[in-house]
Amino acid sequence: MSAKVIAAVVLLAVAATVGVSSFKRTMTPYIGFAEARSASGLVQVNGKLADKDYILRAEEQFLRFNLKDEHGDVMPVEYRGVIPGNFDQAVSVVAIGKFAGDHFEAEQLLVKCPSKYQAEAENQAKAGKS
Amino acid sequence: MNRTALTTTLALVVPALLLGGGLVATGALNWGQLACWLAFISSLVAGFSWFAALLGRTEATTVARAAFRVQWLGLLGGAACLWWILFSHQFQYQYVHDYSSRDMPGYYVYAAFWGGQEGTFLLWALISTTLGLVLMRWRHALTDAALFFMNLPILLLTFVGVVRGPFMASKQVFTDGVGLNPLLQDWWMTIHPPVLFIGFSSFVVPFAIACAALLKRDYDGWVKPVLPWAVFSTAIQATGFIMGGVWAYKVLGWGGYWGWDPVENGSLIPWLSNIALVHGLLVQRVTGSLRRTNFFLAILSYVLVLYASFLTRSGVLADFSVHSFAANDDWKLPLGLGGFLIGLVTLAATVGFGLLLSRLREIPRASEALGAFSRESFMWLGQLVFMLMCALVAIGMSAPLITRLFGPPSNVQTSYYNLVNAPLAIAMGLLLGIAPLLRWRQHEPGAFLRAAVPSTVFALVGGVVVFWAGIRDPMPAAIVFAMCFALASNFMVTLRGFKAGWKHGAAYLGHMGASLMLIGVIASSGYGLDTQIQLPRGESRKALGYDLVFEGMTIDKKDGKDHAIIAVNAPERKFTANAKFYWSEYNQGYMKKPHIERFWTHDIYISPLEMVGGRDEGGTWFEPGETKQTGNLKLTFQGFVPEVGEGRMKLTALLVADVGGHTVPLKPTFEVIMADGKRTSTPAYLPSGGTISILSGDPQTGRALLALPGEERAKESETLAVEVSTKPFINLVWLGAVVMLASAFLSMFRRVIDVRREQAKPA
Repeated sequence: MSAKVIAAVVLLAVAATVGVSSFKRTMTPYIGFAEARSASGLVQVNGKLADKDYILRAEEQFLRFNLKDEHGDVMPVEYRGVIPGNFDQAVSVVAIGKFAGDHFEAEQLLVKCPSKYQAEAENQAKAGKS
Repeated sequence: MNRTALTTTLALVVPALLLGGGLVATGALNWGQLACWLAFISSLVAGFSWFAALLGRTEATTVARAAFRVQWLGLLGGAACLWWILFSHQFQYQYVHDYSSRDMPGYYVYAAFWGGQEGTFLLWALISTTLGLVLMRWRHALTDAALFFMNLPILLLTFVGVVRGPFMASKQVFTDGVGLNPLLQDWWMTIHPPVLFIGFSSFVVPFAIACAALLKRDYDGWVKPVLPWAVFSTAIQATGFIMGGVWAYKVLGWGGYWGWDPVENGSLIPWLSNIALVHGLLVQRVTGSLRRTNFFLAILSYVLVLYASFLTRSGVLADFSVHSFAANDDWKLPLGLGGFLIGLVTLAATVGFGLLLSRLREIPRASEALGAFSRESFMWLGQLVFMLMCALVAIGMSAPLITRLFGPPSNVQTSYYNLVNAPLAIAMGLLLGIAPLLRWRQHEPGAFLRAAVPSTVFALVGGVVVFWAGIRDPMPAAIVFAMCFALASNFMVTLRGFKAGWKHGAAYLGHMGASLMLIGVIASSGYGLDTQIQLPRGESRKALGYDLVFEGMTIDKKDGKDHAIIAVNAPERKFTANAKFYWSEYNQGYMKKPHIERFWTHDIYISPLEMVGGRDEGGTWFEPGETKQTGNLKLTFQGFVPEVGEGRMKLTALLVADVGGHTVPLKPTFEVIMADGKRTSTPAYLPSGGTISILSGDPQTGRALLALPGEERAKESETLAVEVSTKPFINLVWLGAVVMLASAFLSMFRRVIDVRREQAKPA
């Protein structure tokens, strides 16, 4: 076998290994609330604001609200970080994080507003670096 | 123009004008739709004629070419029509209502053309057809076959124009439009999308030429003419990326220029496979190897363009992407937009890969094997690296679709892309540094080792500097090392090349640009400082060693929007940060634009986040019937309409606003829930932008405390939260990008000159 074929095989093997492990490591399944409560690792849930009784303490960068999924299941969500400016008008919220005992601890919130086209790009609250 | 061409043109245009004109007169059709129909029918005629030509009736090419020109005219007419209805504010068209408004400045009205899906399909068809006209000038046995294949996707695109063009009538009567999303209202939007669309569309040419070459069994003759096109795609698509990156960095304010978003990934994957193609073509030209690989890559690049369009435009990723197009609303195409785009992917893949498979066994193998230690072997490995990057990015962006097959749909975090591409970037840097030093076919290992000494020394020095500067993690340090190696090698080869004439140095210049850019990417994205801080108005706060004082909000004279003014005292220099921060009625949210203070070695990036705290209610008191003037706004408060419901009271203020002679009634409301005293104020929006809301009301006297535009936020909230960060060596990113672009365009001209010279030679 020539050196270049060996090099190619090594490259392929490295890419495949890194690919598979990174894929598994960074995968965040989009799941229902029931599964989210028992899942380990990062997951994504989405839903609507269940009510307007949310706690928003901008100074502390703390937000707690109730998220309701399509089946009517309600789950409290807490988020620490910069709060999306248009949180009030959210038609749907995507939360990425994990369940922590009695609430869902979101690392990242994605707020979708009743506007068209690329409006959401701005509204992504980036917790952590990407 | 000969007689057949003239007859064809007339046969298409005259009935279109007569019949179509009649239909327009009766109102069954409008001019835009007529233009779309003309393009579609011409495309059909051209397609069938080229098909007949492929079956041996060569005289049909004249008809096909004439029809193709008419098709271009039709699309051009459609585009002109779209701009005309946009500029004349004809809101009876849904598209005009959805993406433009009367108060938009002209250059945004112009950009509203590609504000929505319908317009972008028209643009796509127009650009593809224009490229077809350019291809038509190429005198070669493959030209007409290539045009046949090129016309296939265009036929489907013009079909979209007919079924669902931007010329649909509004569902109701509008006097004004919604306007373009403020995010898109940026100077870059007037140029960035068309450039990306040219890039996206251009991949069709290598695809078409490859298909034609397969069909005509010309397995080597297509290489030379396809090269300038493939390099053109590389160059123009890279221009699009850079524009998008600058826009994201300067406007969006999250501090980066590339976010691994599906839309970005979607344009990246065909580009990667196209770069693999360019390098493969160069190898084939010299050594005659990689014939099948190159056909595969030329076809794959276009299939990936279409696949990416499917992912980002059909709405399948709507839940996963923050900036993919709006989800499927009401696309009345057969099978919907998603189905249509899948059809397009399937068509291109079936035709292209089908042809390749049917010819696979007869494509001759290389007369000479790739030399073991030769430039072409290393380029082959480089191709492999690009393909792996392409595959891993494609897998990442398709994650929601792939995982859906096995369980709940999942997405990968953006860190996935960094993780998988990092080791490949190291490999790429090393290959980039080695290959240009090698000779074609066979190289003496000893001679190579001597040639590689300077680059290795430079890379080691670079590695030490980087270690000393604080990049200690193995992965980024290794990438910087590999890129320094590539930079030094290519610097030497570029110098040598330019001494022999610019044609010999242009390509290596691009390698230098790429290495510089990647060093900049590592430094600016991984090693900047970053902090979030609250700035109470007038008080000095320290962040990252800078003193910041939030001085308040002002209304900018140029754009009429609110800007936050922050005085910054940095060790480098004192400056005043001026960050756009205003309420957008369209998005129902704050629009923000960062302030970027530029230095040679780094940027200071100040991004406003939100207004918090301190409800010191300002506002202006109005007696019932009173009129007050602020700026060009004259406001009359007529009185309150109270509504008392169960445990709540609602006040609606009747206001009349006069903005520059334009009178509108406004009804802001104010609701109090008795039990807990919770108050909700719903503002009313002024046509000129800005809001008026009720801060308080006095039920005894009927007086109202109103927050006027500009007044409300300045007084209501006094603390601004900002993100302060530094972007070290961000200028290397831009410099590298510009160098890479210059190289790509130079290389393209070089290849065009080659083809011209070939054509000028007497046969």
